[in-house]
Amino acid sequence: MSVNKDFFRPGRDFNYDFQAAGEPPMGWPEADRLPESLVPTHCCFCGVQCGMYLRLSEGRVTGVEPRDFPHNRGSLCPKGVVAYQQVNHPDRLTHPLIRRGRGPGTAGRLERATWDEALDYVVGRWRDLQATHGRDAVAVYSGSSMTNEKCYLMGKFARVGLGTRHIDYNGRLCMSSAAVAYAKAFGLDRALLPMTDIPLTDCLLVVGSNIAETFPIAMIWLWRARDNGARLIVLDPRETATARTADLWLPVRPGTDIAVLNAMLRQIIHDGLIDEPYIDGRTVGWEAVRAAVEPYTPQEAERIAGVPAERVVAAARLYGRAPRSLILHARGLEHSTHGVNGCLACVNLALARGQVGKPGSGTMMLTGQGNGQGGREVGQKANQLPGYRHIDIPEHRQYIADVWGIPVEELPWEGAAATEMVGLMAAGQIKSALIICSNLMVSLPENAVVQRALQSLDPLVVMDFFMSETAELADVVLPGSVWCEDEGTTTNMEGRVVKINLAAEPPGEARRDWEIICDLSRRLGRGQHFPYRSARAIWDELRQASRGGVSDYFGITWEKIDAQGGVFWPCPAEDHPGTPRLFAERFAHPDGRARFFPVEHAPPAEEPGGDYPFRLTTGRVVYHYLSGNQTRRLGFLNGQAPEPWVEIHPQAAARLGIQNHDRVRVRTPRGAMEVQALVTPTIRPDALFIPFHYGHEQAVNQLTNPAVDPTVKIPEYKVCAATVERLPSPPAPLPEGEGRRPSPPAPLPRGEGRPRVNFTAANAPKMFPYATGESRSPAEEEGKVY
Amino acid sequence: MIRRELPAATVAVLAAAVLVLLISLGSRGFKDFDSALVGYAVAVIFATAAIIYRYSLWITRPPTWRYFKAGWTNFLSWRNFRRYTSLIPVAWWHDIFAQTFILKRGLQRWVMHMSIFWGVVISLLITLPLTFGWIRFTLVPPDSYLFWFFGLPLFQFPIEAGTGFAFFHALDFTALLLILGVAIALWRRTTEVGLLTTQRFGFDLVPLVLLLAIAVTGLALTASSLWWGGRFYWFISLTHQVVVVGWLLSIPFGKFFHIVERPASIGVTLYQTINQEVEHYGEQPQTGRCRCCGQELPSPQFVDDLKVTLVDLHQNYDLGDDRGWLQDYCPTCKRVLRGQAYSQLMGKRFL
Amino acid sequence: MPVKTLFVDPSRCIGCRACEAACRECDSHKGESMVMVDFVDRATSVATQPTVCMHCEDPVAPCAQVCPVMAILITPDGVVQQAETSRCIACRNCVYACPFGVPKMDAEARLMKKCNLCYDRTSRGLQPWCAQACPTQALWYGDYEEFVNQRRGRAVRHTVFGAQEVRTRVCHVLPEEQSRLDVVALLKEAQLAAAEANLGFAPREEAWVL
Repeated sequence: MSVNKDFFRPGRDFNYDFQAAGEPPMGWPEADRLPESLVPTHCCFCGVQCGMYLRLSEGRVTGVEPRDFPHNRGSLCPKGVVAYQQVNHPDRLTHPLIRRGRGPGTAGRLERATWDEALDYVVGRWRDLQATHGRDAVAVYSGSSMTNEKCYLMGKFARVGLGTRHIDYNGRLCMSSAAVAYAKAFGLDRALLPMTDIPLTDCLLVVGSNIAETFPIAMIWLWRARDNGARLIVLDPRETATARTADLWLPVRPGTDIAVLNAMLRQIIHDGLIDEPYIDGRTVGWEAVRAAVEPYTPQEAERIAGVPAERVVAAARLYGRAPRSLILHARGLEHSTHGVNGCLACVNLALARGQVGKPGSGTMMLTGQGNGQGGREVGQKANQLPGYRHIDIPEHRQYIADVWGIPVEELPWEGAAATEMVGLMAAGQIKSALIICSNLMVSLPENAVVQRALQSLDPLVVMDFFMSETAELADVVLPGSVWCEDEGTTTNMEGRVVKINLAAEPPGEARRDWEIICDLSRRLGRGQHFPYRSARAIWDELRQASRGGVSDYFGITWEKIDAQGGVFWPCPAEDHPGTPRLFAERFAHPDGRARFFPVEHAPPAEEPGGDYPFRLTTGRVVYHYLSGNQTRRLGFLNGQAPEPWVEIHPQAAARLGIQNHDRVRVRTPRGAMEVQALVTPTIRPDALFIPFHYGHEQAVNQLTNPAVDPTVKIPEYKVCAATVERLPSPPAPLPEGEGRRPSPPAPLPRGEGRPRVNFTAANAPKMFPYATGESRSPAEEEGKVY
Repeated sequence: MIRRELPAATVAVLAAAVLVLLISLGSRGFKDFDSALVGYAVAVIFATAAIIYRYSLWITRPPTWRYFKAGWTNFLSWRNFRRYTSLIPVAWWHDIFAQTFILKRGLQRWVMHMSIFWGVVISLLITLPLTFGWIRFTLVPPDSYLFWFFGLPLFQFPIEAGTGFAFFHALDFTALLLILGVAIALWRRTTEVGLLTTQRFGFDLVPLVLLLAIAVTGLALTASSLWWGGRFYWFISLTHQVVVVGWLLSIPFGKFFHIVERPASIGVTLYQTINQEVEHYGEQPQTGRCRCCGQELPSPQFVDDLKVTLVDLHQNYDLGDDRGWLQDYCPTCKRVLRGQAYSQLMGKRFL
Repeated sequence: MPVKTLFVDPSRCIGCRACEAACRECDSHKGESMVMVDFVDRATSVATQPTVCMHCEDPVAPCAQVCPVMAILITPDGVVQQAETSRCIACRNCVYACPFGVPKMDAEARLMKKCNLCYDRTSRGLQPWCAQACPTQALWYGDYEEFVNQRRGRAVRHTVFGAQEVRTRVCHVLPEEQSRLDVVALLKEAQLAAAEANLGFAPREEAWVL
């Protein structure tokens, strides 16, 4: 893997280190008592949602036991093993906080408050703001690492409780481009296959995903496929643990995957490997694609992407000749100003080979967040209602209004996407926001702007269970619950709905998130729409709300989930077993055919140039999850990777006089940060890599480019122009990050040279506000983009 | 293995003979010997022979012998005298009397072990001399006792005073201490999952049960004479004797052998400190270096002794050429060497 | 009953250290990890290698043989156990004698600790935690027959360190043609290859262009 603790603390002798850091709250000796019971549940981290048991002793969660669930077979990654230590963690927020003493020139401080005080204050402010500035002055920014029930409730709360159009969620930053691509191409957005299908394939093409580090448990199935003889091709600027033993590694320049994918498709066409009967019978739009890829010769791909032409040809032949082939793609492809097109390029390949709709073949997006799949189906997206219904379609609006018992006119229209909200906040159009399950100060690009936007809110309300970097800026902090303090369902990256069970009570005065939302609704005078007494009641309403929609959960009961080891949606009736494999006979478009979309390579929004010769790319490390707000508090995980680092190739390092372990400053047009250098040939010489899980001055999103994809507004995290320089003297030790605001980047000697900027004000994607119904381009209209 | 066993047996017989001699001396030619305790005395003599036999075998194992010799060499070296004069008492305190290392394993474990340790040690200090006839009390009219040890009158104390009470009930107190320790031990062994699954009946549980039986039957003797008017006394006394003899004879085997072994840690402490490689009680370490990464390694003497020990055991980790011995590398580098060899074999292949 | 043991295949290892995290959850040494995952050489590769106790059979447990107080006991089925708590005097012979670099030393508690092959779990028919958690089967638990049926490669029990050959209870997984892992011979090969590369004999990876 990329690093572990011996990079940060070199010279430590492992034989004297038991890695005991990160004790569960009750202490190890207590954790060694006989467990009284085992609660079957799933891990809270990442889209794989591994099955696990939590050990309970005297009502406390004391540990974890393996659970033989169909997709993880009892395996757990290091995050899953220590996830249980979040329960009763000493850092947990146990009572509401209100910022007092805020005034001109002073930030005030967060002080303890009662629930009544906090909620009444929030509701009072919201009423005032909405009365003066309109309903849309209050926004809800939600997340996907929580149960379907909560995600559903957030959408309903925004639209019914607050009546605001501005509700969006952090999945926008995650895989939203893949979601749009699948919706456009197939008419339905879900991974096409269960993970257990992976071993059936003959060739795996992994595009922009370090599965070994991001979804270690999925490696069970990848390695099993290779045991069965499957070939592995990896497109990645880094020689990751996934790519290390691959049959073919295509070290693609960050942000240029489409050139390689198109060149592969061209080669497949020229080799006569396309599946013409399939194309004729099940797809539309092939000719345009065939014409579009023709200019992408292997040499052209080499010129654009820096991958040797022979390797592109070899990859095309390995992939094209495999009877069954499967493309796995993730953030490396999707975090881009042309993320949707990147995914469509993958889909084009698979469709041209006639792979989609067969067992063990096709394409598979690897959704990242714990409930990244469910979170985007149940109606917390700016343009979407539960069951993947579209907020612009009158019948869909009517159905949901009926389920919710409100007049359809009251249902707001499409709001701003998460990335657009920041602009609206900064512009003063959004005056207050409720943020749940998100840590914007770590997760959004160019976080100096984000900080200004958040600080302009009054009040900024954050619901979280740890004091995140975003919560530190909040005016009101509401202590919520971790995953196993509540029950409900999540939908994992395969589309498998699984059941999270309750194992503990929230600590102190902390409450379950849905109870807080219901309480807020009551205080807003909308309590009649939120009468829930249990998570199950929300689930039953969600089933009803999704009924007949694209993602139909109606037939999924908690009992069925337990009985079947998870249920794949769509599951329209209670006697329906669910749908593990999609599109066996027809696609979800009305004509039953898949769509080809011709895609062209477009350069990233910012390319190296002038004083910025490198492409900076960001990514994950196996020990941390998303913004690290949870995993950085778990001793074992944080001990392995306590701070970010920058990976740099020895050739580049040699030119810059940088050696391993040197402190260096990485600079982009937006800012600079100091990190330790890891000099290693496992990255392209023209690329730099920094992991993104860290906050304050360790956040790589001080540097990243806020440019977004025109359709879906996903930011381009994976490439921006950057430079790196060795720091002359050893830096002062980094102080602990408790309660501090990020300091503004130190003034730098800025050179004259600027990177090449491909997005200007003139051609940048249109951002909110849209006129109602205007949000979709003709192509989107046609593709039914959600 | 006659080479080690015959001398060991000889030493054991000699030790037993010396003990018999001492008993006869200390009890003034068996005049002070309490014939009711003859069973215990015989068992102790047999146990002594067995322990010494086992001890001799143990001490002559190659690794032990090396430490044994090095320990005594260090001890008898004038150069080191000034250092170990303070070190040895400190080591005895930490390793044997206060057992601070067990405190690092857990407070509960420390309380448990201290209770058992002192319960057993004090009991033995009282009962062994009694059994051997080295102690006796004579009445000095009107109300005092005279305490004799090894045939010599030592001091006089009043019958009714606390001292008397303490003397006659000392074994009851140690029995209670022992019961406390054993109770904690048994509680741990029945509630902690780790212990529950790894403990062995004969090795871990039987010793505790033996100790408990000794303490309980001992207390029952007192109870019988004080409150039950001597009823069951004969039966209890016989049971007590049986479990005590059983315990004595079990010392050379299984768990209790650690009583004999433990003082070796003093020798090891001495060895490690004298060779300046481990920090004990504030001494500054001075170390060797790993051949590959330059990380700390124990002293050259330690590494050399270890190599010779391995050779004694017919193992030879000489890597040939200029690579030195495997033991010249730190454990991490040993793993990495193996990893590099494997990488050379596999490259970037996937098996 | 066939002997179940661990099979170690570093080529599958992705270095996620799930085994290290999981090992801490073992009831018999709660909170302490006995597995080690090392980078082979991070300066050139992300390759990693997991190390568990190999439970040497011949010579039987060098760690136990060099122990002056006989604290390291071996079960009848060949599992070399961690030091008996009552006996260990923390002399560290085992730590430095072990040819695989396995035993760990708790210097303060004066106790050597190492992998017991998860006796608490295997005695109940479960897998050791490390193999249970491992997502890649780089650590895999089963008997030889199961291995042959389910896995590729050859399970090898012999590791050679120069003059010394060690037969272990835990197996390395090597390519079919290999019957032993000869550490020194392979290191020599690696040295030769590196020397050749430096002299320009061997083809090198095409040079990167910045």
